[in-house]
Amino acid sequence: MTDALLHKIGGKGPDILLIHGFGADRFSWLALAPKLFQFGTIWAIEYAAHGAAGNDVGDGSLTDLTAAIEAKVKKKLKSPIIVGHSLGGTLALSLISRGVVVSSGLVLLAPAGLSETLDISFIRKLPEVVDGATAHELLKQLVVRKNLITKRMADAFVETLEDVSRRAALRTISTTLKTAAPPSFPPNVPYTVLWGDSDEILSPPSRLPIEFQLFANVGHLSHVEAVDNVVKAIQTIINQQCGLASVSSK
Amino acid sequence: MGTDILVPQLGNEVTEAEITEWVASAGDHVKSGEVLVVISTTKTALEIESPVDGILSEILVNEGELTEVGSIIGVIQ
Repeated sequence: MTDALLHKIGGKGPDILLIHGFGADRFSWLALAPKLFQFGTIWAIEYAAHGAAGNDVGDGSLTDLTAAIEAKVKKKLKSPIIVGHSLGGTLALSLISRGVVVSSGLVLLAPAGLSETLDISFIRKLPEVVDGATAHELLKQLVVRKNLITKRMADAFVETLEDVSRRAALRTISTTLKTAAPPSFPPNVPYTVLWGDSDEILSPPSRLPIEFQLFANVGHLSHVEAVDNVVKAIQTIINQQCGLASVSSK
Repeated sequence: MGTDILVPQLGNEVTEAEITEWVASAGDHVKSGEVLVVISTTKTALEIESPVDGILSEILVNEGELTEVGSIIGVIQ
């Protein structure tokens, strides 16, 4: 079993689970999470090779990463709304498709696997950076407003890679990610897909059998650059669920 | 009586943030919803918007400085 950790971030009410993207961790949700405290209890998963989780990524596949998330979530959270970013979005779909964790709604932010164009160079380069300046330039590709990525953040990221096991584990995931097929959307679970129109890492899909909202002048991190829009989308899913609960209880 | 600009709550594990950039300058007329300042941790950044229309009369914490969550970093009159 690969590693994963589940963290309670704050708030009160229905469970909302956040799943971060490749190279991020629970703190990547800081701009969004506090704004959700009024709507529910906010939880954040950290999967293997990220944050405080260990570095056992198994074969780095979606299956292995998802199994570890499932083990942490299934007994603790009841029908959470799941918000997944990038790889986290794909893991959210993978988690639901296994049928053990039941979700009451999905909010997917630029989910990996749905775009026709994945910037492989970003995924490949991230585990290889050795200095803050290179990391800073690379990480700035994530956003349109470049002042949202600081040298301090880049230095902190490089510091995490001083752990050779962490670096190796991220490499393993990045290799697997390049070839992973996206899970399909589960029937009977309401979802919304959000994308920045200027995403340099995963460009918005031009044709998909799903609807998605596109945010203008936003890059790969809509939970940082379009926080209020993401909050609104989550609130809409919550309201839909409240409506459904109210109807089904009559 | 001014309106204080505060460093917002960032969850139960984060106690301080860095002032990354003041987008507005002292003396600027600002509108509600306009980004005033970018703050950051070692993991992410967030933009703090003006809660009201007015004039950014004071900047209390300068760029590059660390400040505690909940502290007042500016005032709008």
